[in-house]
Amino acid sequence: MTAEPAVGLKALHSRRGWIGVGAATLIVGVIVPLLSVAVPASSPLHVPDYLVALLGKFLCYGIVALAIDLIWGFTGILSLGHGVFFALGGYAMGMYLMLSIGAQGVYKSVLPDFMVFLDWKELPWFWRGFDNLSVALAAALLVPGLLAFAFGYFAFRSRIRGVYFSIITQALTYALMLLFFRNETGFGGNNGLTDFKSLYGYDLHEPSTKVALYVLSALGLLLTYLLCRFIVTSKAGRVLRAIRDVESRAMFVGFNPTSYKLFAWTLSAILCGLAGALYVPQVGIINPGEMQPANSIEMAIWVAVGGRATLFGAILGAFLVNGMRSFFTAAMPNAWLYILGSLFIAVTLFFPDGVAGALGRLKRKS
Amino acid sequence: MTRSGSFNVAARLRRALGAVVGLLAFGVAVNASADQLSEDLAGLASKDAADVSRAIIKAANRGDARALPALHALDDGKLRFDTVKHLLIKADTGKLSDALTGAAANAQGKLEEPASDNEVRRALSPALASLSLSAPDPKTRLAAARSLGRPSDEIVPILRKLKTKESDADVKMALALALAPADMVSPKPADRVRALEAIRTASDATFKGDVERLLLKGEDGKFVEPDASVRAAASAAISAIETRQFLINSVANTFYGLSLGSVLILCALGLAITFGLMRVINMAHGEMMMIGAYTSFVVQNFFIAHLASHLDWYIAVAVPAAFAVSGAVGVLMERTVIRHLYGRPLETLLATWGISLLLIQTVRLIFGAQNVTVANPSWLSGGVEILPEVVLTYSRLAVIAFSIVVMLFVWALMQKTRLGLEVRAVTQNREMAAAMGISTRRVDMWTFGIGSGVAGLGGVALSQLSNVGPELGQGYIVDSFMVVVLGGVGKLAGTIVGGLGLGLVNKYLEPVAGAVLGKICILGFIIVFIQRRPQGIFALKGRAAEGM
Amino acid sequence: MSTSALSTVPADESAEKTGSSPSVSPPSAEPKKRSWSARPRTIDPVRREAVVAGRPAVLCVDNISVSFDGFKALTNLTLILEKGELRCLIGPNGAGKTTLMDVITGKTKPDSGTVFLTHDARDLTQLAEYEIAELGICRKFQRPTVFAGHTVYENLELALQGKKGVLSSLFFRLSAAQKTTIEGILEQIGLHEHAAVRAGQLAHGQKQWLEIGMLLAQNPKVLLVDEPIAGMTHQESERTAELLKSLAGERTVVVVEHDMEFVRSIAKKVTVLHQGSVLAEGDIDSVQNDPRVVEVYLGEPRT
Repeated sequence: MTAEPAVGLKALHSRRGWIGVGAATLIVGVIVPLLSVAVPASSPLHVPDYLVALLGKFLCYGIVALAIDLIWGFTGILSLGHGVFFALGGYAMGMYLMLSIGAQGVYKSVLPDFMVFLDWKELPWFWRGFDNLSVALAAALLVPGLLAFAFGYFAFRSRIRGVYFSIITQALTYALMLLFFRNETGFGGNNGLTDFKSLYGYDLHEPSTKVALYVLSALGLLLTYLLCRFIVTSKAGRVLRAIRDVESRAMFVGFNPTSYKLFAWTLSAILCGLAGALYVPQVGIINPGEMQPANSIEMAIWVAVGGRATLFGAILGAFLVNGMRSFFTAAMPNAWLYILGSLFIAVTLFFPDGVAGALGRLKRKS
Repeated sequence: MTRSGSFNVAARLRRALGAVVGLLAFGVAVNASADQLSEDLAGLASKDAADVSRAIIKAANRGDARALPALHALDDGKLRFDTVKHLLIKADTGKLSDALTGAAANAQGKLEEPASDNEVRRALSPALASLSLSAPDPKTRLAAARSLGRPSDEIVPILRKLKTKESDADVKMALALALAPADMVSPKPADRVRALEAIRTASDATFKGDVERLLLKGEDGKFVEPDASVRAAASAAISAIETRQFLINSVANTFYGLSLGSVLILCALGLAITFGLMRVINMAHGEMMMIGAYTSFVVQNFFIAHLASHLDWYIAVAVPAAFAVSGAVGVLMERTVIRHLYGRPLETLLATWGISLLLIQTVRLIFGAQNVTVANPSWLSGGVEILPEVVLTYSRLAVIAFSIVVMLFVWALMQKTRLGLEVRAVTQNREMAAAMGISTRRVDMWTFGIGSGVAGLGGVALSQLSNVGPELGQGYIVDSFMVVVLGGVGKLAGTIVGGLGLGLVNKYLEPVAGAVLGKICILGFIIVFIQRRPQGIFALKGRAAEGM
Repeated sequence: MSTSALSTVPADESAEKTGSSPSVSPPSAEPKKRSWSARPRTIDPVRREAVVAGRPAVLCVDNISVSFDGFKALTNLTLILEKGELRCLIGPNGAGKTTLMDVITGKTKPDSGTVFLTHDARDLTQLAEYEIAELGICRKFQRPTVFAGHTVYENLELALQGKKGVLSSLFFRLSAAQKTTIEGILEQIGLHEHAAVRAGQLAHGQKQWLEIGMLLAQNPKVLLVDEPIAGMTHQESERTAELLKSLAGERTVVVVEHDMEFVRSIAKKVTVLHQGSVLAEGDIDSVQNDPRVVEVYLGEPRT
C-alpha cells in the first residue's frame, strides 16, 4: 500500500479539489469582470466599479495570506513583519508609476513632485531604471526576497525561533517604517508615492484598466495558490511540516532546517512583494503606513481566522476579515477595533483551526 | 515710527549718547530721591517724542535703578499717562499701577500712550542697559550682562566703559562676551584676538558660526582673516566650543538616557518576569503602562475637582492606584485568556494583541483620542542646573529615583517572599514545582498581576515626562522586549543593565545617526548580539532543549 | 538505596580522580583551550593513528570535555567504537551519557576534543547536526520523537537515505526501490497495517518502533539509541532486544540503558560512565564485579 500525501491535504489533489479551484477561478476571475464590463449599469446583475476595486484589493490580500500560510501554517514561523515585504513590492511598483507620470505632475518636472519639493536636482541612484516596467516588477519581487533572505539567514542560523523571531520581525517592520517616513530616504516620506496617472500607457482611472488589473490580481492569486499547493504537497512540504513539528528530529534525520526555513521565508516574502505590486496601481497610493506593525499582525489574523495550513482557508480568511473591515469601518467605525480585537482573542481561544477547521468538523458530523 | 522722518536722527542720537556716556564717566549718581526721579521721568508723559527721549536720557544719567520699571514698560508699550500726567503701567490684565512705586493706582481722565519713535527706541536700550548694568547687586548686573545678547552699535561704547570699571569677574567676562561681536570686526588684530579669547573662555556656542567664518578661505584662496595669530585664537575658540558642546551633550544624553532607561526598565521588568515564567509575550504589556498613565490622569483630575488644596500630593495616590488598576487588568487578562493558551506562545501573542486593541479603543472612547496632560506636582517642576544650558529636571530625577525604588521592591518580592520563591521555582522547572505542591496557576496569576502593576508604575513615571495618549504603550513593547532579550529572561540584574544600556545607546545614537537610524542600529546590534551568543539567551542548553 | 540516589547527583568536585580509566587514552596532542574559530576542521592523521591504534574502529571520541556554566559534564572522555559492535553505555544520572550522545550528534559543541569517523577526515564537532546525520550517524531520543502530524509512511519516507536539499525535496518522487525499502522496514517494525495512520495516534511502544524504523531508513553506520525500552512492556522489550542484536554486526550500535537485565541480554561490551569520564569498560560480568562500579552504583560501602 502506498499512502502518499498527508491526510487533510489529500483533498487538494482530489477531483473535488480541482472542481473547487476551477469554480472559484471562473466566478472570481471571469464572471465578476464580465458582469462589471459587459452588463449595463442599470442591470441588477451589474458589478459596480467600487466593488471591483474592493475585490481587487482582497485578491491581493489573498496572495499575502497564502504567503503567510506558507511560512506560518506550514513552517510554524509567525512573521509579524510581512507588511514590509508587501510595502516594498508596492513601492517598487509605485516608483515605476511615479516616473511614468513624467512632466504631468504639479511642478511640471520630469522628477517626481516630492523631489522637486525637496529641491533635488536629479533622480537618486536607486530610482534609476524604474522607468522600465520589467525592472520595477523584478525589483518588486527581488527586493523583498533579498531583504527576507538576508534577515532570515542571520536569524535562522542563530536558531532564533518562536516568539523571539516574531518580535524581531516586528522590530524590522517598525524600523523600516521609521526609515520610510523620512523625506531623506527618497520615497516621498510621510505622503509616500501617489497621484499615479498611467500604467504601461493605460490610464489608471479608466474602468477598463481597473478591470484588467483586477483580472491580473485574480490570475496572480491563482498562480500563487497553485505554486503553494505544489510546494506543500511535495516532499519539501512534508519536510517543512516536520521542521514545524519536531525540528530536532528533522535535523537528526538529515535535513538542514535553516535552508528549508530560508526557502519558505524568502518565497513568502517574494509573494508578498508580488501582492504589493498588484495592489498599488489599484489603490493609487503607497505610503509608510503600510509598514505599521499593526498591519502585519492583522495579516496573520486573516490566516488564523481562515484556518492555518489549509491554503484555501487563508484566502477565505483574507476575504472574510477584510470584508468585515470594509463593512464595519463604514457602518460602525467605533466598533471595528472591538470586533477586530475580539476576533484575535476568539480565534486563538475557541477556533484554533479557523473557519476551514470548523467547516471540516461540520462536514464530518453530517 | 511715523514721526521719525522729521528729525535729524543721527545728530540727536549722538547728543543723547554723549550725555549718557559723559555722566557715566563721572560716576553713577546715587541716592536720588524719589522726587528727583519723578521729576526726571515727568517728561515721559508727553506726546512729543523729543520730550520722551530727553526724559530717558535724564533718568539714565541719574543712574537710579528705580526708573527701570517705567522704562521697561515704555519698551514693552505698557506705559500710560493720564490727564494729570501721572505715569501708570498698564498690565496685560488691564490693571493699572504706579510706574514708580508699583502700587495699584487709578487713572484720572483719559489714558494716553507716550510718544515713541526710532529715536526714543534708540535712547531706550542704552538707558536700560546702563541702568541695570550699574545696579549695586553683582547678580543683577550679571543677569543684565548675560541678557545683552548681541548689543547694538550704540550700546557698545557704554559697555566698554562699564567693563573697565566693573569689579566683578563674572560680570566682566559676560561684558567681554557681549562685546565680542563688535571686537571681532574691529580693524585691530589685538581686538579680534581679545574677542576670540573671551569666546574661548565662555565657550559660547552661539558664536561658533562667527568664529568659523574667520577660518574660511576666500575665492582667491586666501584666508578671510589675514592675521595668523587671530586665526590661531579662532581655532582655539572653536575647539573650546566643541569640547564644551560635547560635554554638555554627553551630560544631557546620559541624563536623558538614564531616565528613558528607567522607564524602559519599569516596562521590561514585568515582561521579563512573566516571559521567564510562562514563555509568552504579552503584547498588551505596553497597554498596562498606558492604563497606569491614565490612572494618574484620573487621580489628578479627582484632586483638582475635590482636593485642590492638596493637588501637589496627587502623585502619592496615583502610584498605588496605578499599580492596583494595571495589576487588576493583568490578573483579569491572565485568568480569562492567557491561562487557556498555555504552551501556545504564538497564539498568546496574537490574543494579547487583540486585548491591546480592546484596551486602546476603550480608553479612546472614554478619554478621547487626543493626548491628555498630566501636570507635574509643583515640587517636581523646575530642576538643577549643573552646567549652563544643562538642567536636570526634578521630574526626570524623580523618575530615576522612583524606578530604583520599584526595582528594590521587585527584588525584595522575588528574593524575600514566599511568592518570589515560588515564582523562581516555577520559572526553573514548572513540572517539578507543580509536583512539589506549588499551585502554578496561582503563581502565574499573581506574577502576571505584579508584572502588569509594575508596568502601571512605569506609566505613572512616563506621565511625568510626556503627554499621555491611548497609543502610548505601543511604542514601548518592542523596546522592552529588546531589553528582555539583551538582559536575559527573568534576571533582574540583566533587565536593569539591558534597560539602561538600551536607553543610553538610544540617546547617544540619536544625535549622531538620528532617531531612526539609531533604532535600526540597535536592531542590527541585537541581531549581531544573538549571533555572538546563540547559546546564551535563545537556545536552551542540555536536555531541556530536547523537546524543542 | 537512598545513599546511592544521592551519590548520583552531580557533585561539584572535579572528576580528575577517574584518571585510572582502563580505556586507552593517548597523551593529548593539542593545547586544551583553543578559540572556536581557530580549531582545525579536519583531524590530524598522526593523531588519528595514535587514537585508533590499529583497532577496527568506526567512530572515535577523542579527549572530549564539555562544561555548562562551570559544571563539567564531560571530562577528557575518550571512547572508541569498533565496527559492528553493540556497546552499552551505563552510568548513574548525570554521568554524561546523554551529553556524550549530544556531542557525537553535534547538538552540543565540546570545549575541547574531537569526534571523527575513521574513514573520514572531518572533525564532527565542527559540523552541524544534519551534516553528521548525512554521514551516517543516527540517533534515537529518550522520549520517542516522531513526526506526529505525518503518517507512518511519511515518517519513513522523510527518514529515507538520500539527498536532503530543498530542491531535490521539491521534485522528489519515490523510486520503486525506495518503496520496496519502506515496505521492508514497515514489515520489520510491525507497522505495516498502520502505514496510513498519523504517527501521533500510535501507542507509545509503536512510536518507539517507528523511530527505530526511521533510523533503519537512514541506513546509518552508527546508531545511537537512548533508553530504547523506557515505557515498554516486557514483551516489547524482548522484541527490541532482538532487533538491536540483529542490527549489530552490520552497523555499530550504542545503547544507553538503565535496565541492567536488558543490558545483560544484549551487550557484549559495556562502558561505565561516571562524572563525565569512563570509569570502567569490559564485558558485563567484569564490569559488574568492579568494586569502583559497585561503589558508584551503591554508594560508599557502609561500615
